[in-house]
Amino acid sequence: MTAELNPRLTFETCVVGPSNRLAVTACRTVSEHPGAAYNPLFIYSQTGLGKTHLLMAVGQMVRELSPAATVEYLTLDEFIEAYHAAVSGGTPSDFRDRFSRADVLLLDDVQFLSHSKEMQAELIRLASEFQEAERQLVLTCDRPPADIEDLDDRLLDQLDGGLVVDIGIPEYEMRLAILQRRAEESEAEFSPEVLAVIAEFEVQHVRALLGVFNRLQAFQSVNEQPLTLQQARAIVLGETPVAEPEAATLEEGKAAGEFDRFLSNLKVTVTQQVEGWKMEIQDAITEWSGRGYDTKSLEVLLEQDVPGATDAAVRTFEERIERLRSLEAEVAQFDPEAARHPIFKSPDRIAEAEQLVREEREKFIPPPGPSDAFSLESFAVGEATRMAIEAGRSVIAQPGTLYNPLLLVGPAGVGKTHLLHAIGRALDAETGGAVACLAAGTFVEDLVKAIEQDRLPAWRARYRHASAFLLDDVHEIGARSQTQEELFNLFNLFIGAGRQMVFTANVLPQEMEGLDDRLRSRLVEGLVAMITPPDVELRRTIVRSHLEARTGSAEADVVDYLAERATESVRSLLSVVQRVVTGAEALGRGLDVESARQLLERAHKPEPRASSAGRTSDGMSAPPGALKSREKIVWDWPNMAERVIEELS
Amino acid sequence: MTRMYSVDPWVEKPLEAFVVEAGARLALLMTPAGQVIAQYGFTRAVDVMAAAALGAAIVASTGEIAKLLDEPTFSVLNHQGKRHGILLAGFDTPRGRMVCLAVYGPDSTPGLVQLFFEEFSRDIRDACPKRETPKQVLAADFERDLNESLSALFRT
Amino acid sequence: MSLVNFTTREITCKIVYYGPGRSGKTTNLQYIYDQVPTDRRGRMVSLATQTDRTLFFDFLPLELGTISGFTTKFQLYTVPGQVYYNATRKLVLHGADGVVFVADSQVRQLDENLESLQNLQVNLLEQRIDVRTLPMVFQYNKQGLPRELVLPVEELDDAMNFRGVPSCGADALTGNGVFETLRSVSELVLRKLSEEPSA
Repeated sequence: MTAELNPRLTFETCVVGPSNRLAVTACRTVSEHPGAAYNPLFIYSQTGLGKTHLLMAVGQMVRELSPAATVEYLTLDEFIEAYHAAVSGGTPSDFRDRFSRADVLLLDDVQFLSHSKEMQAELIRLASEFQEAERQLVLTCDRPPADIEDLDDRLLDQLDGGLVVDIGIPEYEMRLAILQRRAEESEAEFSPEVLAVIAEFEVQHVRALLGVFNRLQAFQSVNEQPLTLQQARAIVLGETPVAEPEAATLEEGKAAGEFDRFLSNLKVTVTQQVEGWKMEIQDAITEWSGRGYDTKSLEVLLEQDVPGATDAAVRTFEERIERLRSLEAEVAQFDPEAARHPIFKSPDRIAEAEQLVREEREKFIPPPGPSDAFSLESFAVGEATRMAIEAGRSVIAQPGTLYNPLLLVGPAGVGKTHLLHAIGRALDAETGGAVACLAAGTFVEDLVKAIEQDRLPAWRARYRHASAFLLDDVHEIGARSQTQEELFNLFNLFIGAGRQMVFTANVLPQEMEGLDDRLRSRLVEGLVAMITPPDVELRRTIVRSHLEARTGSAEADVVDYLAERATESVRSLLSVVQRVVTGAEALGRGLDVESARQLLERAHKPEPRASSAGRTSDGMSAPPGALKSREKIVWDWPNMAERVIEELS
Repeated sequence: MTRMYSVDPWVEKPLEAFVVEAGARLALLMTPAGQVIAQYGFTRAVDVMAAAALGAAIVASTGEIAKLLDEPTFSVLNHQGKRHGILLAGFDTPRGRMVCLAVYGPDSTPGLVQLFFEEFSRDIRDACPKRETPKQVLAADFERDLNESLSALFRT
Repeated sequence: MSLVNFTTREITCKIVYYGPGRSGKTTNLQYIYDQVPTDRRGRMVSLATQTDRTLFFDFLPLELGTISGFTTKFQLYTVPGQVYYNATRKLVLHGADGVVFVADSQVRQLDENLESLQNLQVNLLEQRIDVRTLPMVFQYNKQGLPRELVLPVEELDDAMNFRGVPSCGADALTGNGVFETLRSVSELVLRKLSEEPSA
């Protein structure tokens, strides 16, 4: 959960001097009595002077003294990331819990709080909580609190209430001590004069000092003899030593002889030249392993003796890393969990990584798309539908910008689903695919299954990457709190990214039961278009086109008659047409008003078998007016247990 | 005869005899430093200069090898080429050490040339004026002397 | 041409001391010879006249030991300075990896210096060596003479050092500047070696 505390950074390995004594003492106190003494503890200094070392040391010591304590170490960046991830993942409470539960919270590099009001507010909250609960908060920064731009006054007050200390640049003795300590640790043998000479150089931070040390160590291990002062000096200066026989010599002096001096100077140059390529590789290794990548292939290069094509090798390595990165990003689309697989940090195993991506891609089932059965052309235009169609067309022309979301409202059977899918198809064509278009019921089922299988991130990823989101009968998610939560997050994502959302419902949002207010308000944010039951003209149009499609002809009086028979919805109208046409075919007679009348009015007599077969949306025969309730009949009853899970979570 | 030039006239007769009998095409008589005393057969000063310098260098180099082998200096060097042969030999005279370079064609043989060279060196030793001491070469004048000899050879 | 043998891990370089007659080229080598421990050098061969004028060349092999895992050998040569010996001088110059131009700082020798420098360029041209890229340094020798007789280093630089290569004043008889010169040219040579594509 927390970043690993580096075991090498402890109080024991910390060199103490006048420049950091106060900070070190404060840290020790805080480690021994967390929450009791200085809370919060704020340490600031220029970069590279040991703030992170101290933070880690506090963490280590706390763990040592109270193994049960929870210690969290994060950089502020990671903190912010965690916060955002939790919010967009829909679990902001997790974030709060995680950090409230920590006994010690160590935050590194808080200067990035500048201008981040949200984070500052969180931190203020956290800090007060910690204070009350006597939990320890330690922060580091590259500047004093007053210099952090745009910092909330309340936070400033809180920090003042604790302790603010700084760390200065180490002076000569401390630098020497650091070098000696480092030499001991790495078991390198340097003559004391060499270390003394290095310590003399005024560096701005310890990191530079250690960098110089590393170079010295590298050169020494490459040469067969221990480093001379000349060489050390030259390496520190990063240049070839200028010929100054008098100035450069200390004890070495004339005793060693001109030739020896010549030789040692020459060796430094040659080493730098011949081994320059090693430095290059070493730098690359440090950089990439620091970012978590496996640098074995580069390390192998180091062991070679021949320079070889170093540039090319490093470049190839970096190209591979680029490739890994793009693979990682690709996989994250399908399954964010998979993106964390360590294989994406191994440039040597690109083939395996690609394989993984392939597998994930195959496993990835895109969300249900719009059905081919519906098209805009086949949608009848009339008074009842004009507004909805216009809205639909506008949305297709300017997806995501004009009316977002678009909500189509109307009673059952007026063609909402048809229009929804038709819009979906058009958007699909516009955006090149990946439009999600499905019924709310399916959406809910899908979510329940994902929760059961513990594949929530993958489920989210499916919908997240859709280019548009269309949901039929959105009123059905009333009282499904988790679905609403997910939909809410999806909403924010899509609207924010300018991707189109279209919904249908059979009531207006204000009348939807069990709907979260946040969603309610969002549903009306765009445009609400009504589809009313068809008027007579529209009915005639629909009947005419269907009769022509089925029988090749449409007599006007038949059309009129049929248009009068079913007036509530397009669906009922279509079922009437269906019955008449089928009946006529069965009897082998042509269709006219008389036969139609016979077929329909005879059927008014109650039949022995109750036609409880239910209605589907493709207009199978059903007694008109039989099912007036708003409930849709579901063919597959979902597992009751699933429902329970959904409602409890 | 017209192709012989010398700085010191007393060398001419022995050199002439050597050239005729040995059948030499080119001949050079010089000091070990390459300073030319007499030449036969060369048409250009630059060629003389090159031949003298190189000849002297070769003798010096082989002298060095001899030292490595703990031998006294090689007396005679023979190079046998496709069309020409070269004899390069040093010898002592009252005037100091001298080096003779002779180039001969296929109508002569190394043995013949060497034979007549032995005679030539004896003649030189005999003809050498005994009154004069070997010329002392002053450091500053060295180069001048070299060049002057060369010019002298081509003035006549 | 120098040899870098990655298999046997050896580097061998030829450095030629060039310049007009009596400028101090042989003196340089003699000083180096005196300073270098016997296990680091071979026999110095001097092909010279009776009056100690280099006739053909001086040759001093140096063993510099192991540098970065490579056994490094330097071969130092001097050439005869007199114009007369151009033919042999050319031979010695052949295959040089680096050149030390030893100039005579005396005022009255300035012309000789310039003539010799020109001669160097001509000879290099003949061997198709690019003068501009050949590692080269200037040594302005005899700086120890009375000041009225010699030109200062800056003026000599102005007169001769067109390429702006490293230069230094020296007095080879006492040894001043001899090793500095050698180090300068060695560095240039070795640096160039490492820049070339590896064998």
